[in-house]
Amino acid sequence: MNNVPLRGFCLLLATLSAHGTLRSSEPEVAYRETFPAHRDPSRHIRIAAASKNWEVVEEDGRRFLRVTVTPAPGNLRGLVVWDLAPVQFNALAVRARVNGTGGAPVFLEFAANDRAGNGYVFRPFGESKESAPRTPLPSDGSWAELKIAIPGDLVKIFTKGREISPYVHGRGEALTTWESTDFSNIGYCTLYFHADVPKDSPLIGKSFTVDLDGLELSNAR
Amino acid sequence: MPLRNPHFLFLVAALALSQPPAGGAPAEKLSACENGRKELVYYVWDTGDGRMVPTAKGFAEAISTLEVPYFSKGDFQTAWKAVGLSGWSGEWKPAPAAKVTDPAQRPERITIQASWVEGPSGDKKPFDGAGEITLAGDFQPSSLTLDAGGLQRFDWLVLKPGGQGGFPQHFLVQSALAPEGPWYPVPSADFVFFPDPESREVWIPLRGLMARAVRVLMPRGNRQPDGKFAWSLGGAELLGGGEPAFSPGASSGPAKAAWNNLWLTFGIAGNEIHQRFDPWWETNRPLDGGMVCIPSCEWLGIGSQKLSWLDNPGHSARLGQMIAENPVGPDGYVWPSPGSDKHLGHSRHFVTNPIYCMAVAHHYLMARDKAFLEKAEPMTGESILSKTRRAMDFQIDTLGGRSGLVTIPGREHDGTPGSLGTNYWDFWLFGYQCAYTNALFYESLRQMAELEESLGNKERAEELRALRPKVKEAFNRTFWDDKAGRYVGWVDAAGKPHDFGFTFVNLMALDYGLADQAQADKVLAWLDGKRVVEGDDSTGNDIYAFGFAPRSNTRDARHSDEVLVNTWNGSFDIQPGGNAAYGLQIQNGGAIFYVSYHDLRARSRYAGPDDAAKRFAGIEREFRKDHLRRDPANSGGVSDIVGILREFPESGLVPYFFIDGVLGIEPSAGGLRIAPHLPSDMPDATVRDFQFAGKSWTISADKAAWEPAVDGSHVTVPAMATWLLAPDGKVSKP
Repeated sequence: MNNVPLRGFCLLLATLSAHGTLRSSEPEVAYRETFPAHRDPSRHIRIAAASKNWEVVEEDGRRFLRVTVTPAPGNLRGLVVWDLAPVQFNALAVRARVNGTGGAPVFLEFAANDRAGNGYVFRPFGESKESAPRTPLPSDGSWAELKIAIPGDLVKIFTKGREISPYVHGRGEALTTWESTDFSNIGYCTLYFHADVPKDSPLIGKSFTVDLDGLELSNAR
Repeated sequence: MPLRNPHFLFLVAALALSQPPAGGAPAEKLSACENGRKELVYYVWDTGDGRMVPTAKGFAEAISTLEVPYFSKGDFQTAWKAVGLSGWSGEWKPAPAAKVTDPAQRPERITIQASWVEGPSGDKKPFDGAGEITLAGDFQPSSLTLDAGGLQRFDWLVLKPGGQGGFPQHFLVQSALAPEGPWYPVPSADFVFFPDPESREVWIPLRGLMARAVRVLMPRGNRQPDGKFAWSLGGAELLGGGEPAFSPGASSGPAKAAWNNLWLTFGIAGNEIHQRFDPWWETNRPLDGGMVCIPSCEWLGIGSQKLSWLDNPGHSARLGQMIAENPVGPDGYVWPSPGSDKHLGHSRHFVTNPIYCMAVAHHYLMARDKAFLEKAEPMTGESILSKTRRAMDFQIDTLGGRSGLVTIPGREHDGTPGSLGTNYWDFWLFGYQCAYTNALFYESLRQMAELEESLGNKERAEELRALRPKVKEAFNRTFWDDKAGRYVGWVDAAGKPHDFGFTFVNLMALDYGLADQAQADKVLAWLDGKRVVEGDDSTGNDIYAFGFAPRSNTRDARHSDEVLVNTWNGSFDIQPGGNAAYGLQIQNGGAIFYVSYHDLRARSRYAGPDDAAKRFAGIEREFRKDHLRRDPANSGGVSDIVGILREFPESGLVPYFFIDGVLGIEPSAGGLRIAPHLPSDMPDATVRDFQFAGKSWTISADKAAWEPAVDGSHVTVPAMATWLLAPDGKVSKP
């Protein structure tokens, strides 16, 4: 289609080339959740399972998410869902803390979906590649930082509901079954944070809060 | 079928969209390609005449279309580049040259009364043709506000580069009716990692947005060599002016803005994000907004109402094609979509028959294009008109409509526990003798009679009209519950009526004129909280707790000795604490916006235009809070409490009430019937760019006028009577 006169209006069409450039070699922060006043958080925050309600609270000039979790037998995980416009990232950071647990352990886990519906499960908070199991969030009310690198901290992938790679925690194996996955080009659209308690937790039937602050998605080059 | 190419595929699709960008014409996608990035991207166009024009976001594999006006003759070399939300950006790609022989008129520059730059701490400084700001850290919001001093119609925001801080890389556009807010987003104008325009002006489409002030909000600045953050601009302008499509006379600015912005958002979805760059498809959270239509029969009637009055050949052709391709089975049952005789492969929806008839009748009577009626279904070669007549016959002869009452056949749809829903409200087991279906049957008889008469088939028209009193009598005999003072939803095959205080059933029945005045008074008294129906869970002001519409039902679904809802294999839990507990699900104590269309029409018909205006004022109050961009989730993680955005293009019916309610414009056999119902504080009302019989009209109703007047394409009728605008442009009393 060359030369397109349309009553003074030109119809422009574009499709995207696979070729592109990066703005710079520095890590680029694509998304940082500050709960700004101009955006309604209910458009992208959801809760489910043992999470009972959520609110945005302000403390020392920072606005962050506070979720009240009430575990029950058979419903041990408080779930927070973050809906995103599909965006690519290879590093995630978020601060988390719990209050009202009386010292009982609460674990933080993280997963994501891409826009094709594939699921990605990441290394839980405190777990190391070597052998250390997941560790609970600090019980003294202090903040802990969860940092995820992709694909380094990825432990499972699900596609069409089926796991396509084994969980390799503790073995440090190369995840060769993932070779077909192009980790540099995944449009993540949903993030899932799980606040998990053991089935014999004294928190069952009680409520505690989980704060999530400063969610940041970036692309470390 | 989507085209796939793992490397690179450049597709160009020629598509003439005649509606100018100022009118908010959504783009149409003719084809698609899988091509590269999986994150959302937006495009920026170098238009070759010193401007850069961005698009909204969408999927990379979809074709993005954009209309851009040119203001001078000449050949302009264009180019585009894509920008991903992560900060990735493509290379500039050359595109075909624009050869402009008939330039558009440059839009008027709106006078800015005041403008200022505001920093993170709230400090303000005047923006005197240029401005910049320096920030200590990243993600510190700042803004530029442009205040026109009064309500204006905006088509473009023009930002000019200049200064040391660099053109803002991250910005979004908001509008307000007052310079102190509240601020409403313009979803299509939200950019991250915006490319350096160098010397080009950046033209951002606003498509007729009504507002007093526009704010450019920078959530973060540009990183500077010294570690600080900043941005700068060499100028900013707002272009537009003129009157909007809907002018509600002397109504205040907010009401005028609401009518037009409701239409912009939910009617033509002009400034929305369409993830497939196509307003006929939904966009997922958190970017979901208004959309134009859904390509399924259940929405064809809505689409016909929304689109047939527009001067938009792209939408009109697509609607026509959808109608042509929608199968009507050998028995006369209208399939919900070409792929299946069951909606979502789940259940037969017998409302598709009246909806199909109404969609065809309305679209034809508006366009008066017989070629539309002769359009053939690709598989069978049968014309739209033939299919429509069979669809009506199916209601009358196969479903028993000749007796006055349509009865839905089959155990699967008999309205008893374990059966399946038969209409839009498929959470409920509407079936057998269904008030919702019969109300639509009644209205479809009216519209089909108009269609048949317009085609010269007076005998058939009279036959259809003669059936209506019989249907009305049967409807009231079957569905009216005198004790409750309202219509029940359905009567099942065992003869048991089911009443959960269905507001949408009652309001639709009133809208279509099925009630007498006493019945209507009782229904409205119930809805207005002046009358409590025993056993209801929602009473008084709580019925309109959502503000924009009544709750869908006033009696909890679980208040029955039987399970009368479809839990979709247990995915809905209606018990307290469940994800579909009362008030937490759109079909069980939640609310869907489109019901307000029937609400407004019902009130206008039975309680008068002032009562409708009062209800619209309630809607407008809600709209003023957040432009109804709300989609909260319940504690089950399901965002189904309210139905306004995403797969609810029917939300656009609410502002359409300005056309067929306030102005009372409806197509009939002889032409456009204009029966204005202006509230007492509205001396006149006007709709512009109204397409009828192949011509664009401006139609006004004026309380001060005594005689109808036609001035070129502008028709003015006295507001106190009913008029007929014939296809030849003559106005008479019907």
